[in-house]
Amino acid sequence: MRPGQANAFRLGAWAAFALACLAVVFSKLELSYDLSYFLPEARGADEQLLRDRAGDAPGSRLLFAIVTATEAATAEELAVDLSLRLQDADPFTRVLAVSQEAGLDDIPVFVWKYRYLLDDRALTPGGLREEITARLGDVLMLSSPALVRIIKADPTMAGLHVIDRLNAGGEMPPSFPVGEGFGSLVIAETRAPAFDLGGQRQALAALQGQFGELNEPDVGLEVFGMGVYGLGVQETIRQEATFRSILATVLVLAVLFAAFRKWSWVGAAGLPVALGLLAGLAAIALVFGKVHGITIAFGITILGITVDYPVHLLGHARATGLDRAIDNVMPSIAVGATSTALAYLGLALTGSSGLAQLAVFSLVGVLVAATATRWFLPALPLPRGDAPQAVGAYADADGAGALRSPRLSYLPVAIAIAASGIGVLQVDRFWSDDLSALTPIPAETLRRDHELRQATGAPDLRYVIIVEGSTRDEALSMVEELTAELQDARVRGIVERWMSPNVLLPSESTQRRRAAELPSTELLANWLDEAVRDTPFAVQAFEPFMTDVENSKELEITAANVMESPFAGVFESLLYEARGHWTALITLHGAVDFAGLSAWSSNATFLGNVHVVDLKVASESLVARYRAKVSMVIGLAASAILILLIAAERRFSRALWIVATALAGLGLTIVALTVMTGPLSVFHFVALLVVAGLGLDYGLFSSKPSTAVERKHTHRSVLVCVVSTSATFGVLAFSSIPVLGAIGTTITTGCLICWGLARLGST
Amino acid sequence: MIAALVTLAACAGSLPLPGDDVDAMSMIMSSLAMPGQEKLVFVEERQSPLFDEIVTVSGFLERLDDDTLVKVIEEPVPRRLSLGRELVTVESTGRARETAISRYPALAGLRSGLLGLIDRDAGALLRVFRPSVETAEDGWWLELVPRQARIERQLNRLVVHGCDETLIAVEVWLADGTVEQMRFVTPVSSGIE
Repeated sequence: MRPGQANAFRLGAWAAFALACLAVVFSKLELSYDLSYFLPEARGADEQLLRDRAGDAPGSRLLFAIVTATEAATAEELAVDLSLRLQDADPFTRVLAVSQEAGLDDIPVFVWKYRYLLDDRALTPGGLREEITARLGDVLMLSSPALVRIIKADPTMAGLHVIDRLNAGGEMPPSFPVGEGFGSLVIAETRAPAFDLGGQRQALAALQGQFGELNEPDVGLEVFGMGVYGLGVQETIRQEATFRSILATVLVLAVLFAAFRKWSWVGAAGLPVALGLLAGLAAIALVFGKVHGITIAFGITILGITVDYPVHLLGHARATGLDRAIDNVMPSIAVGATSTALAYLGLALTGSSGLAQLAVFSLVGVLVAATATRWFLPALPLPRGDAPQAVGAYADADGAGALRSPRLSYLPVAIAIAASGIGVLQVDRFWSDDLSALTPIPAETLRRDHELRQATGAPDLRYVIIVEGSTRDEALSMVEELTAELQDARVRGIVERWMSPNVLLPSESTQRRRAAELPSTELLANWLDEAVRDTPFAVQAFEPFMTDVENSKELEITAANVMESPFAGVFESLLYEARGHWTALITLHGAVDFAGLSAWSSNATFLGNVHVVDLKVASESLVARYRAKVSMVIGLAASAILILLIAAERRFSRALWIVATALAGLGLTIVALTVMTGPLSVFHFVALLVVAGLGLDYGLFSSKPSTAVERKHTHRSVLVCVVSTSATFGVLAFSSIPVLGAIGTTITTGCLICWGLARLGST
Repeated sequence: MIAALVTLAACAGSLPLPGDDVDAMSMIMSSLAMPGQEKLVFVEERQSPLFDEIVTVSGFLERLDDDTLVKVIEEPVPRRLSLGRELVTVESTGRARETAISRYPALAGLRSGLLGLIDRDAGALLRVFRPSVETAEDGWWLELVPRQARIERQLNRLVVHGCDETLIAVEVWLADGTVEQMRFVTPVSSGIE
């Protein structure tokens, strides 16, 4: 085969590969914005809960809509109007205006039908007498047909009592000052979980659309809730990723053009990167199906560094010709790319599906970009005799200017040893395990969310009690035992209120007991006769009550009944099956004394699978353990890289120097970042892998045995790589998304430090 | 004095009230004998599908402070209902339960109407209700329809009946058709001249 034919064949093969990747991406890839993808593998009930319920925690389906107006009454009235308009809207399971009167006609059918099995108060002659007397006062105070109807069938107000328990909350004022006006709250529970952003978008659109139709002047609408935050995060990621990707691309193109002075070469340098991106996307489409927005934003920026490969090759090609440049540069690129891929392989095995996606994306992307640099780039019909000239400023940075002191070459080794020592001794100072520090939701919004949840009695998302059982009924029975103990904690001021799935589905034994305790028709008639004596009530008015009590003895509540009710959403989030056992959650409402709660739980008489969880602590332990695991895996990857380097270079001292350069770069970057931004997060950690890869690359190229001319070109191409990497990630460093900001700062700092060390220590 | 005379004349002789309903209400209010400090003793006769017989309820209305109206039922079961600017408090047998008054628009409307009457404050009533006045030989009828749709959804109207400077009764017309009449048994004659 002639060279021309061979090149055409290669280009055709690469084009077919690119088309195949595109086909896979467009046919299989789905986008997701569920942050739980990035949570590591969990251990223990509390961490498991964090993972299981991330994005669908109890209360996370609630949207808080504040209608604002200049007058309190207007805000209250509009809030009621808005909630009435949304009652039958498909995206919502329940909508309630806080200012709306608790309508006696609004008791859901489920609660009304099963009220005597759901009511935790026993029906007794004395209790009935007290309730009948109380009802007389109610009727005389303000009568209404709805009240009369309720009293006839439910003089003990069992239905309203169950509703009170379901609400579990204190009373929110119908309106409250907001700025110079007033706000009134509408609470809407969405059908879709918080992480289902499509469903959340529909819910938000329905809310805003109906508010718009109120068509009132000088009023406003402010919506809070996990779903809204998720949409905000998605929008921020999209805007930031778009804006910063464009800016970074422009900067890289500018750097490349400044280096090559030929658009054809600049374009050629971009093609391996593009092929790497396509292959990375196709790989996660094949392996995972769904890709997280952060993987795309993060992965594309990380893969941006693979532009270094064509830069090295083309930079050398201009001086020595392409064939010699391939011989010269490709072994180092191959070692660098394989080392980076090994590090990402380690990351892929750490147990977080989001980071595994990122690792697979980067691993495949890096390998394909390196392969394309070797086998695709040389096949392009580039004007070979017209090699680009480097810019004068870069030309000065040649090998002649480099320090040659042998003693300085040990500098990276010394720094690496010192940094490792400090790192081991001061590990807690460098790392933050606070997941919340990573959220792109503004702190003020989170504070307001917490306030609204406390004020409306919505569950606090931080504290929860977990009960585990081998069957659903066992979990429910354990919750009932525990609830008796919780009464004691309430008396001691440790908790205020709580909500458990048992309010909607008592255990089978409790249902049987309550049904058995209901009096016979004859006995109830006697109790009623006694209760209405000395009151104007007519005993026959309570016929519906007697009928309903009798019928309740034959009833049984099943999970399916609850799932057909408007409470399906809250029930599902409080009782679920995972990994072969059932988990019931007790959510705490109002003020919680967590220290007291922990002490109470350790002294309480119940034992078994009950855990009091502070989700913040759980998230910290999850991340801390994850960091330890990542450290171990990365340590193994580093050993593999060292072996690879020794095997490839056959010189232990050079391999050691290269690894020491990378480690010293990492150590100094960690110290510099800690000084600049405070303790580092798990995303800094991932970005440090890229820094390690850069350190290896710079070390490889800087220590390459070569002629003075080759060394000069090596330093130039390394410098072009450093400038383009710093420009790209410098743009990210200013991102308002903590994840992207962390990556940008880390890689920019690390890139400059590694380059400095490699340059300083090269001999 | 002149207003009182005009009202008296209107009661006695079915003379047309001068001006529109607002003026008529203002005249009634200014002539009404209703010193705010005293208790207004009332009797209500209540019928209900729950009762064997008509129940007579007795008690009194009292202004507790600038914002709070108290309705006390003494017979047949003691109950005390405080209607404040923001809260409703129901007390019975030593237990008190508080809730926001805006959850009970009918009670909020009743509070505004009764406080306006006790204060003889036509302006306060006008802020909450649209008035209309009818007169006949046996007295005058002031119909107060809530301006706010939210209140009107529960409280259809209040009808205040009186003659001369004497307040005779207040009828509470709820939106579901229930009508409760509160008759005042010790109307106070003030020294209006």
